[in-house]
Amino acid sequence: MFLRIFCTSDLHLGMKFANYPDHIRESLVEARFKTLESLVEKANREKCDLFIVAGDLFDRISVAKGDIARAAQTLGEFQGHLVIVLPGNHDYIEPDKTNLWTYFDDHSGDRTLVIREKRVFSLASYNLDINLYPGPCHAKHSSENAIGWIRDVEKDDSVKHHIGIAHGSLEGFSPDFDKTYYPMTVDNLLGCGLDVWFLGHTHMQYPITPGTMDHIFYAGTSEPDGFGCSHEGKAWIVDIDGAKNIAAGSISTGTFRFLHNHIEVRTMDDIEALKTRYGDSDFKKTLLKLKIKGRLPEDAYNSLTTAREKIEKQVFFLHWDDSLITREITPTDINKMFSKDSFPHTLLMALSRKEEDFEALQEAYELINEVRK
Amino acid sequence: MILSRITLSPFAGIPHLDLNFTDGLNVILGANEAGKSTVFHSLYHVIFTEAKLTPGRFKKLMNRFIPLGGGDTIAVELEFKHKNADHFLKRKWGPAAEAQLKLPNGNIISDESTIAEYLETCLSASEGTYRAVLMTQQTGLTATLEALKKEHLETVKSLGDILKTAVLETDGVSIEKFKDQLETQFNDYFSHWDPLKNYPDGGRGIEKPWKKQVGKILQAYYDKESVRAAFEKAFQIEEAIDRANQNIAETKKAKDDIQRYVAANKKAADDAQERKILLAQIENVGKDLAEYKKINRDWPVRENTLQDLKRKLPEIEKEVEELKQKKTQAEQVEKNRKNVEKYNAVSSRKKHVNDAEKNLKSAQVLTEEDLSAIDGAFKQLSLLKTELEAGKLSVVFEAKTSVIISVTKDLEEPREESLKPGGSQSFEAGGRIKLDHPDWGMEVTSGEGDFADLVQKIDAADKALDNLLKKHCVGSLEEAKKIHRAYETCRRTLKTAQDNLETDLGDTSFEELESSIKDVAELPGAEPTADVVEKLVNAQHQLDKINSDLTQQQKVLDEYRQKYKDPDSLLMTMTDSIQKANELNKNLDALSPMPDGIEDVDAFIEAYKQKQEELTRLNEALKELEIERAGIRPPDQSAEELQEQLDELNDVFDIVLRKGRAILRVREVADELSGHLDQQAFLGLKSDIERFISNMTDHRYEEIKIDKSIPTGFVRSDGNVIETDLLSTGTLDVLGLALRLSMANYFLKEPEAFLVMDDPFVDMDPGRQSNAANLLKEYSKTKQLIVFTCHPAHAELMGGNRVVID
Repeated sequence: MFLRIFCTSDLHLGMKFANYPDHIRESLVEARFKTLESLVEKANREKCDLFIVAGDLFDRISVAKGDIARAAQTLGEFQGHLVIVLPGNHDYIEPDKTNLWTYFDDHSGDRTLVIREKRVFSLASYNLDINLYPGPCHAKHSSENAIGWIRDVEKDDSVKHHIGIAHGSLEGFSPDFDKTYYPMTVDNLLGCGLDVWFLGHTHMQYPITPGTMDHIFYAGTSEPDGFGCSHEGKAWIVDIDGAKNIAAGSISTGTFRFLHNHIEVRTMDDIEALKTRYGDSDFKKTLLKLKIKGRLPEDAYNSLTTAREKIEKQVFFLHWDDSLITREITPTDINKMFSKDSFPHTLLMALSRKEEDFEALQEAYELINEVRK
Repeated sequence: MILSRITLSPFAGIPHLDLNFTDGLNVILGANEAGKSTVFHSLYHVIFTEAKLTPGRFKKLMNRFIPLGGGDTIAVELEFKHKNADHFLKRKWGPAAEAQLKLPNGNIISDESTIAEYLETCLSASEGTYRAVLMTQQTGLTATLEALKKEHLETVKSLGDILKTAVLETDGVSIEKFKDQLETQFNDYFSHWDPLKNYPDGGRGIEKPWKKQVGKILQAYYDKESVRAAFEKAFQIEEAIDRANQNIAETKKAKDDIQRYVAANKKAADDAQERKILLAQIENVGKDLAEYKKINRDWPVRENTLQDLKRKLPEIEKEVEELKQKKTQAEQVEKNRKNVEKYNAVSSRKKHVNDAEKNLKSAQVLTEEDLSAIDGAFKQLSLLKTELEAGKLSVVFEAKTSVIISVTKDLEEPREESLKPGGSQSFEAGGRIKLDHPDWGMEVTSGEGDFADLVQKIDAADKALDNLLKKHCVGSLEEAKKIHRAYETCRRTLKTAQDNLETDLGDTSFEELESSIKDVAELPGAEPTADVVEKLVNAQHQLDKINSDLTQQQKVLDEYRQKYKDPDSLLMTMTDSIQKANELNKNLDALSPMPDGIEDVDAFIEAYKQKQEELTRLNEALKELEIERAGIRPPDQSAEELQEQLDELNDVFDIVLRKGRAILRVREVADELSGHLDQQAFLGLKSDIERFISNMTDHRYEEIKIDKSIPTGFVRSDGNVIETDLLSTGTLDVLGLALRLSMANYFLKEPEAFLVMDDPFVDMDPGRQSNAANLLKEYSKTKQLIVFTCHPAHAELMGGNRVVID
């Protein structure tokens, strides 16, 4: 039996992006739904059998009902056998409560299965020769992973595929310094004796270059959500043949990219290079956090505004930080600009003597120019 | 630097122009729009503006000088003298930009920075000073003076203040305005922010924020702290939800487990009381049945045992009787044997007594008293001799002639001493010294007692001792002691032998003992007493046991008969019990079984009851937990999203704070500088100014009168103050020109220096113009002076090297 699985995670639908301007925020919020739609379309085109969301489909448990219904309906468009949705640590299951997953179920079709329990799920009723071993999240934080129960479960040899799905950090790959995000290790996962693992939580795809021996796959987020997430959106299409050989193909997804660049500029040439750096049309969908630093000669300093305006037109959103840029003001410059013994000359010379006063020198210079106007 | 020649080729509207300068005064005359300003700018830029400019700087600085008639390059050449040597400077701006400085030695420098450094050594002042003072139209200085007219500056109290202000504000930067602006900036940033504590004034954080006059730093602080509070709240809420969910999940699991238990064991619990009764009944029936079975098995056994015991009893009674007789016999044999053994031992003792008696009889008798008498006599004799020897006599005999004398000391034997003439000999004794010579004799005795009496006593004691020794046939005290010890030994040996004999005989006399063994006869086949006794004890024990068993068996059998009449009746009772037990077990089997592993019904009933109570408690707890969870409203934004915002606002705060601190630092340095700027430093200019004013006013005014901060008049040479409209334009120009020349003196310390002026006395009345022209001529003797004017009359007044621009 040949099996084709589409795996995504960490869509974080309903994320608010409150620190962005309104028009940017609306686009970012909407993009996540559009990406989900495109993922389903892609899975349909690729004739995938199974569509897995490995956690954090939603950003939190209090997502607007309209958003929940929209997500459920979008996933309902999948034409394969089954959509499996694993609650992650952001959209975890609350025990014994009517919650977002109750509402989600109400708007899902028969071929969408929300995993609520830690038990073996036979997918035979969906015409899939698969036993599923899930680790759903029941809280936002947990120092214990949700897969501990799987190792000692007897595996039914009559079932072809044994697939694990979990959400949490992976030691050595995911940043989880306090071990509070359902921490797992490769040994934990492989020790369960399953054919393959699909994981969510870490927004970066893993492995970076999959090989035939890989059995653990992080989809990564399919739509990046912040400047801490500077890679493009990703998802997996994984083929498993009758001999359980695995072939994983990474696909690029998503609308927007976040880029956080720290650039040092010293000359006019640097500024000119900056103006063309983001000229490629790919950057039209990039949110750029650009932090530039350095001391610039007068003309280069004066051209910063032009550079900023140009880059603003090149990218989708620009977070410009030139707080570490100063005008290069040397004693020679001061002598050229101001008469000896004049107040500006004396003040600027005094400030130019100490390296640590470079920002004060800048402020003083600008104040003098303002007063001289 | 002294300028010699400038060539514009082209520069702005001038395609080509050569102008030659001389040392001293140069007057460049040209009508308005003739190109004076172009020459002025070309001179400035060829000296100070590098040829290779960035597009931005070219546009800003040089674009306006691009020739109107076409072409994109402008060029200026300047010949000048430095240290009296000719230099050539050429700068070309535009696409073919280049710079060249030819030195007197023929070397050519093309590098801009090297050219700039070289020119700096040639110029007496910096570019800024040239632009503001030495190569400027007078607007900057005039503006300072105009300000005096318009503003009543509290800080300007004297001419020194004016000069100080003139110098400090040469660049057109008003210190007051700068400080005002700085203060505004400072307030913009630091309003209600304490830079020392780095915290809001009055410790008013976001819980009690300032509403008005919120500075940029404070605002950035409030912004980030608001988000931090939101983040912490969101994090706490998320944790609270986690905890609530965890509690609910754990409680629910516990409740479900108990609920399953309660449901699964409900029937068993319902039947448990009946099971308890049935089990008790079954236990009792079982106990009865066991008793019946036991008695049923025991009864015939006991009957047989009883008969068997009765049969054995006479035999064992007979055996006991026989053994008792054997015991009496054996005891008699044993007694006889002991008497013989005793007789033999006593006979031996008796022989020892006889031997000892014999020995004693043959021994020399010397009793304890005898020995004591001998010892006493001996001691008496010794005492007397000691007494004799106890005195101390000393005699010195000196011989006049040779003599032999006999000397007797105490009881010693006499001995002879031979002395030579003049010799002497001393003799010592206890009680007597006797010297005898054939011709004389001398006896010396001690005065203590009677020596003769003592000698007599000694003789008597000696005889008494001797008598005693003879009496007991011994020669000495030692011999007496030896004989006494032998005698005592014999006597003690006899006593010991007699004591032993007496002990062995005990109460019996030897004769009785001897008599008792005469009639003893042997008893053939008699067993040892111990064997007989052992057999008797065993037989007696056996007899006692049979008697006891008989009693016991009879007692039990009597009880059986009393309770069950006979074995058949017992069998019937047993059958009834078995039927009853079967019936009870059947009833028990009909009940719901107890949980696996539970045997104790009471424990099960108690445990079930506790589970029911626990279930009730957990249901209540679950309701409360769900109510508690429902009361927690999830945050609108996740902690992660707020954390990201907080990180950004922290960055913003750091930026604003850094900028604020930079402003604070500017303020510190500016305040420090203000404190150090001493107007006295500029007073050297005052005499220059007054000299120049005096010259320009035909020496009518020697000083400037200052009222408060305003120069209100000139002080005439006769001392009268002429209240003039000092600040009329013409007067102001006089003051301005004086100030300008004074400052040129201040900055241009070296004689090789040039000063550029533009229409310096355009608004002066003719008299003052003439005087000013004379002043400039006079000044040009010390510095190269280049004056631009569009007035031929002024040029005429000044004279000098006239350069006409058409």
